[in-house]
Amino acid sequence: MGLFRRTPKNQPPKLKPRPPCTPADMPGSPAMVRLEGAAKQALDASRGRLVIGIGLFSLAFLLLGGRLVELTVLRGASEPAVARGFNPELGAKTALMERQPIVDRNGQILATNLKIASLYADPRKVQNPAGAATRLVQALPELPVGEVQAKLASGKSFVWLKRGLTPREQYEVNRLGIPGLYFHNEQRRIYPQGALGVHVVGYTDIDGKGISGIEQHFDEQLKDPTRTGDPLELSIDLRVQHVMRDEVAKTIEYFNAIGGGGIVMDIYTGEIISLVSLPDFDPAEPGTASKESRFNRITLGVYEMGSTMKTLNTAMALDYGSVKLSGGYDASRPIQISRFTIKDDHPKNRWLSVPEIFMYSSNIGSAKMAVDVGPERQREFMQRMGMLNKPALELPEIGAPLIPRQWKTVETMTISFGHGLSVTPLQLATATSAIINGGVLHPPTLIKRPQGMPAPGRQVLRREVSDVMRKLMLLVVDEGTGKKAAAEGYLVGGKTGTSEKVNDRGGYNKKALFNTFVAGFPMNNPRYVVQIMIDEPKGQKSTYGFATAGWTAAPTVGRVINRIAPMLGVPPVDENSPAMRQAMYVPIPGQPMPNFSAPVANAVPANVTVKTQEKKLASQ
Amino acid sequence: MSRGLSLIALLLLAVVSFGLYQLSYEVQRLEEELIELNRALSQERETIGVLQAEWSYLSRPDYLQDKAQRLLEMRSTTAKDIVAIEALPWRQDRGTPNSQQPAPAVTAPALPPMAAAPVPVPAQPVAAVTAAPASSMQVAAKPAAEAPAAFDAEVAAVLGAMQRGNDKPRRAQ
Repeated sequence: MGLFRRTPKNQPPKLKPRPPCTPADMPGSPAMVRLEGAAKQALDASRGRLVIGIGLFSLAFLLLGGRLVELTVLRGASEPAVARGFNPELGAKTALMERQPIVDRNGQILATNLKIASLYADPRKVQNPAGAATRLVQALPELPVGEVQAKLASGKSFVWLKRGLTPREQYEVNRLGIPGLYFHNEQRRIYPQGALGVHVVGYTDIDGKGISGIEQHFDEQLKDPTRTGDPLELSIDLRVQHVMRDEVAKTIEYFNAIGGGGIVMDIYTGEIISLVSLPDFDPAEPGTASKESRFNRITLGVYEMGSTMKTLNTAMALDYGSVKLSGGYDASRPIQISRFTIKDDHPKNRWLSVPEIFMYSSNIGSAKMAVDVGPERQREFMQRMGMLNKPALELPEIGAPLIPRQWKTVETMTISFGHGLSVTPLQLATATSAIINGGVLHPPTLIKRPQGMPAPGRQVLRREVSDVMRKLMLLVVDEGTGKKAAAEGYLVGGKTGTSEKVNDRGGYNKKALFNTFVAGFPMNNPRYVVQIMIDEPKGQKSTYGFATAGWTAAPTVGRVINRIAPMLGVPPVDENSPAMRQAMYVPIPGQPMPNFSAPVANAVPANVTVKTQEKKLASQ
Repeated sequence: MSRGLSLIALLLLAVVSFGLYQLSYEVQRLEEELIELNRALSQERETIGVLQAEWSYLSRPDYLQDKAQRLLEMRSTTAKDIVAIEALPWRQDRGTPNSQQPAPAVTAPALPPMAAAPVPVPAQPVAAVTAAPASSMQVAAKPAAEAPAAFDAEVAAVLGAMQRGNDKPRRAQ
């Protein structure tokens, strides 16, 4: 305790004073020490050093004290706010995924990442290879016993036993408790819906990199670690997607066609509810898929759309006002122009009014209608409807339209009935949406739009023209070439299109047909466009050998609408009720106005009135 | 005086260092607990992910359609299966609406629906409302008059297969 020993007070330090130099210098003064010379300097210097030392130490302690206050009272900025054990990524909604899941508009999973365990062994640590092999094979029956035993007895330090175990298999293997067996965890992309929606979702390669479809287009976003767990919501409705695939596949099989496809689009948002291209393939095994089945016919394929283009043609003529609805053209004789002869497939051989030209799908009338508009304005209109540009959609597989090199009167005529201009089915569906939704062209999208947000779009058509076009399309199904598309309880309007495919020599092949039916429903208050393509159908006995769109694609559209309307919440109506018939009536010159109060001969007693529901829908 | 201060300082030093070590150990223990919890959480989430994928796989529309058609005798909803509540007629045994309240337009039974004036929503609850729900499975029950034993056997077989858990579909490879 020497450090704390008390020092006696008031005891001056015992100094041995030197004798004063000269006593006269300090008369009467008490004994004082006066240092001079070298000794004084040394003492001063050491005192100064002492002060500096004290100052330095004080500063250091002051700093320490300050830091203490900062850390305890003020809490330093360098102090971590959370514990080291906290993993911020675990705060996300789902497990750590290397890639976000993709879901449909109702949250049904289309693609997700799963942790998959692979089984390997360290044979040096396996004690009884024969016994271990027999037991392991009980858990994994598909493994050959001999091979497993050979592997386990190999004496290497690492052998794969099985890659990609299911959780159940992993549990079974774990339960055996064989020493020397280990699991390696890795993530794998899983597509629970299989081939359903494969052309939309696409697939990834073995390293989890998107190489097709949405997986490729949103590759960066899906891999973004800051968004882990947030699924990517598509506009697709899996139920509708299934119905479309089911029905188109049936039609392809029945008519022995080489392929087909279908699209359902919400006409007020541009959201694609269903996009099917057949044949398709399983995204789990893209390597085994043929080139044909990987091809997306809806967005990548460009086709001459045939008479479905007459929808655009008629809308164009009415929008420019080059002909009135009551007007018409002489369709009694085929048109001869340069090396072409333009004939009608359903010839009436007389003057036809605009509604008749549309419902009987008259090529002659349509061509004359387009000539009145002129090549310049036709081109301008097609541009406005998005038919001349590559459509923008969230897929890498997008085809650009084939535009004729020169656009003169001949081209104007052929384009009027869908030849000479090849577009993707997606473009036709988008343009048709605009024609029946009041004239607003919405860009198509595969991503679910937030509710209540107005979809982007621009007015491309007068509203009145759109109203008339709805009625004209309804007429095609009621009395024209698309009768088989009728769906009981729903007002379906549409347009058939049958075109001959171009053969290798550049001519048209009469045997290879491309059928399209584009429809809108319910026409009293349109909500959706349904479009179906059938590629090279062959005529069947039940269709009297016909393989035109009215026999193949139209009935498929009718069946699809019958099945999807309840899912999409479209209320059924009595399509034959006089009020409805009156509302959708189009006057055709030369035909008497029907008596709306009289019951229709083939009227089906419907049991529904849905005025209030219609109002609700209209206000949406 | 100075000696007392020193003792207090020494005591404080001991207390503070003891407290510090206690705190440090406590933090360490809590961190370990946190890590453990995080690991458990992550595992649970992985399990949820697996189950969600499994659910999505088992509720594939084509699979459900096949089962519903073969085993439950269901068929697609048609427009006739969907009835608006306003279109339902009054129950007969409740007396005619005329006797209770003046509600015309609903009395005539077999008017073509669209021709009728918009039916007012009755102020009094309609009995026996059986509006067919537009279910997500797009199937409406068809009255299965006969439920043969073969049908039950088939259901049992399918349920058994599902419980045994055939992993064929997992597409792990």
